[in-house]
Amino acid sequence: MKKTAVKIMLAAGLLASATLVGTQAQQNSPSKYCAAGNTVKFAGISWESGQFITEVLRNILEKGYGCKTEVIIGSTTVTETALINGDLHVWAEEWEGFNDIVIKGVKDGKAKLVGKILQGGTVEGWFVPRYLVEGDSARGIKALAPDLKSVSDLAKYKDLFKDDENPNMSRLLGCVSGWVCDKTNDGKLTAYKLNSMYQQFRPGSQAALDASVASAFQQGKPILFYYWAPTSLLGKYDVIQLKEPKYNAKCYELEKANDPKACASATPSATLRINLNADFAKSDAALTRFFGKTSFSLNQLQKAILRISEDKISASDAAMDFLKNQKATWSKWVPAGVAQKLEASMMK
Amino acid sequence: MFLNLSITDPINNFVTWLVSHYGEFFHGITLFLLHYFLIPLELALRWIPPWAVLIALGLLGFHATKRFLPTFLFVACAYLIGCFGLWDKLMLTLALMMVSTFLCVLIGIPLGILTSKSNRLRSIVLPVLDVMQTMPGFVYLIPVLMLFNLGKVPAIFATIIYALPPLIRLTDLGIRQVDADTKEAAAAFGTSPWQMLIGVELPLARPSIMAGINQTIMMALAMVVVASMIGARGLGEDVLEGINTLNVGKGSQAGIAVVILAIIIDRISQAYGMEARQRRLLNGKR
Amino acid sequence: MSKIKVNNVYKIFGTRATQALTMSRAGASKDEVLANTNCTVGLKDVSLEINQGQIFVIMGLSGSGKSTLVRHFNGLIQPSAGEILIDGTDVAKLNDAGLRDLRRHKVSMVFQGFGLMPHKTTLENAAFALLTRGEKKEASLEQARIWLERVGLKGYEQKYPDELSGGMKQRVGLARALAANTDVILMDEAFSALDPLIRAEMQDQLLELQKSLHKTIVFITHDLDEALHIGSEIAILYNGELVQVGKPKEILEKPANDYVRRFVEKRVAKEMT
Repeated sequence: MKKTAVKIMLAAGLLASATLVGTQAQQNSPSKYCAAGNTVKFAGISWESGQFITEVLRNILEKGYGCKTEVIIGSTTVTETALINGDLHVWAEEWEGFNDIVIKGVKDGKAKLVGKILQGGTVEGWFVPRYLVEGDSARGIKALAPDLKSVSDLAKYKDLFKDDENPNMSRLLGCVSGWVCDKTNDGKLTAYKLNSMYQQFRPGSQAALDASVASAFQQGKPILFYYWAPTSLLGKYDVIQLKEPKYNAKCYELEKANDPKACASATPSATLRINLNADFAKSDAALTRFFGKTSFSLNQLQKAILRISEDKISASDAAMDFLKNQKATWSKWVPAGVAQKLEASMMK
Repeated sequence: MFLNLSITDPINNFVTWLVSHYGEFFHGITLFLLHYFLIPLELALRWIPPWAVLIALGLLGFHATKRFLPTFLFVACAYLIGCFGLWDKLMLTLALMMVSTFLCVLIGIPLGILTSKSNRLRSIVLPVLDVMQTMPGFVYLIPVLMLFNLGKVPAIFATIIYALPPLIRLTDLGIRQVDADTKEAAAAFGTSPWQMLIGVELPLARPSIMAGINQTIMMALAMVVVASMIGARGLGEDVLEGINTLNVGKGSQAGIAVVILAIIIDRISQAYGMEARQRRLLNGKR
Repeated sequence: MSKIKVNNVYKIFGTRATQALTMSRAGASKDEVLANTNCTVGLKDVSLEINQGQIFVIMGLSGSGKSTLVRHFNGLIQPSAGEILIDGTDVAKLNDAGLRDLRRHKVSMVFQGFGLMPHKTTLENAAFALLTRGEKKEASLEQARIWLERVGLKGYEQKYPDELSGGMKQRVGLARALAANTDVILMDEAFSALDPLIRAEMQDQLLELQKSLHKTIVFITHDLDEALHIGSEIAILYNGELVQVGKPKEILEKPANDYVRRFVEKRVAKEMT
């Protein structure tokens, strides 16, 4: 949903906003492609997590593998097409199964998806503040819903989430009107047999959704809301995701259509992968192996997004932070020699 | 060349402080407005059968304009909104707008009267009105939303902020433009300030004040889509959904409904803005 | 017996009134005061006495201060110095409530521009003074109806001011003042905006009414003919100063200065042509 929501417009074709070059002696590179003096071209991504991952990969390539890299900005459609045509090599945060161009590209053997960059995949569902379930003695907040763990417990706690505008019902702060999740949430309320007690309240815009979540957290009030990760908001606030029945493809399709006969199913997790141009992947086994091993925890991504969106630091600074502090994570992705080089360069 | 100044943090901290310390207070206002104004009105409007609303509209339209053709058009257009399947949302929007307008009148006319009496107050109020009219809506929308909870109440407040200024300005102007000789004549017979206001100034400023109310209503309707972005249900919801899903048809249909509502209210309130006598003369001439 | 007594009234317009007042009292001319203090002397040391039941005319050209003076009688303008006694009470010393009381019960007024309420009917306008002072609506309207009939406007009760001619409007204005039934009526160039024929008619009507009413009427005009016709006593103002007070005959026969003489001569010349 994010991909369609946030796009950077591009006039036509590819507008190069060029950057940067590795200065290391390329001959020593374990990457064949880079050793030949070629530049690895990344697609510019408009959202924070994509920017962060791109910068992490680029830093490792430049400082560890001694590659030259470049980021080319463009709308999703333009950069994905360019990748399939071989003008770009790496698309760092690909939501598998979301983009028709990529699906076709993979089928035609022109693109190759590698790695699972987010452990456990994306998250989408219903959340409540942790203080609601566990209390927060520091803020003097009592645990109002100590047994609230899954959606089936919502009936018991419906009074906590009363809708001011319709006091007979409780409010699930839902999805922006017109997004896919709009219908899915309604379908889930039916499937979970909550629709006589709860109704979805559509916030009208993501800004409004974020602001009301923020307001509830600042006041320590109960709130039940739909959200997804990786996002800065879930990085910022301590939440508990309510457990939902296992994903069931058929049931989920019915929920998505808000079918009155919908059966219970969680939203499937999307897998985030790295999309590589197939020729590039074939030509450089070392780099492909590295991309295939790349993997972040949800927490790591959330933190990075938070630093970019809240502290207003650049994606490349966030990436440097990560490389300096999370060696245990990234050292598993690369051969020892590359890791050493990378570390040495950061010492300087 | 420039000093490094920023009001970002103080404002952010202030909003956070306000939300965490006075959240309950503002929530109380929300509940009050909802339970005593909006919800009863909405229930009533949605409970009344549509044919009764259409008949009432017809009667009101005729009473206002004293002419058959516009009255018929009002009813026909309202019926058309019903045909679009938007009747329920029309009633929600109408309720929201009525409450906003009512509050605007409640605040705007007394404030306009006060500013017309005091040049000092006027010099304070006018710049504030400028700010209210030019400040981009989303700047205050989000804090208002955080204070009053998502939904109709912040939408009402946002609407008031946007739609109140013309009413204050035109009330002020209307009273200031009352003929000085007429006022002197009234004063010469010993009118009290209250008698002067009620018996002379307000009646003579009436066209201007009614123009102000009309402006306020129009601006309140223009806020419908913005209001839906903070969760106020109604016609704006469909416009927004149309935008979000690139469903131009759906957006246009709801948009047309907003326009129809605006035109009907505009014509009726303008007709009431004219004095009864003026209307009689106008009809006599036709 | 004097109904209205004006004692040494000064009126200065401007911000440095105190200084201007001092200069004016010391004998400085209007121009000198203006040059020095940027203040205009509206009235300078005016004293007069108006007897009960007479039509007292205050005459002068525009800018002579006559409209300013008459507005002192009901407190629409406050003097910079001096006193205005009506039945022995100083108008200048009254507070808001006292002034309201004076205007409601003692002094009513007729205006050059009629001063009618455009949103009220003829009947409501005529009843304005009564309704303002809080009399019962029915009784007030009844009184108004009677007075409208007396000034010749029977049948026009439900008309609005913009449906009436100038003469009719001023009859409404007159009816409004008469219905108030105050001892004093101020008439500020009441007939000046009317056609000569209508004007003569109104003057006669006023005299006719006065025969039975015996009000104290202060009548402002710039027209000597009118003054001579209706005035039992005439005061002449020039540049904010009182030049002469006397019976019409005295004014004609013994003009106090050149200014008055020119007035009189112009009238004689007009009669000869």
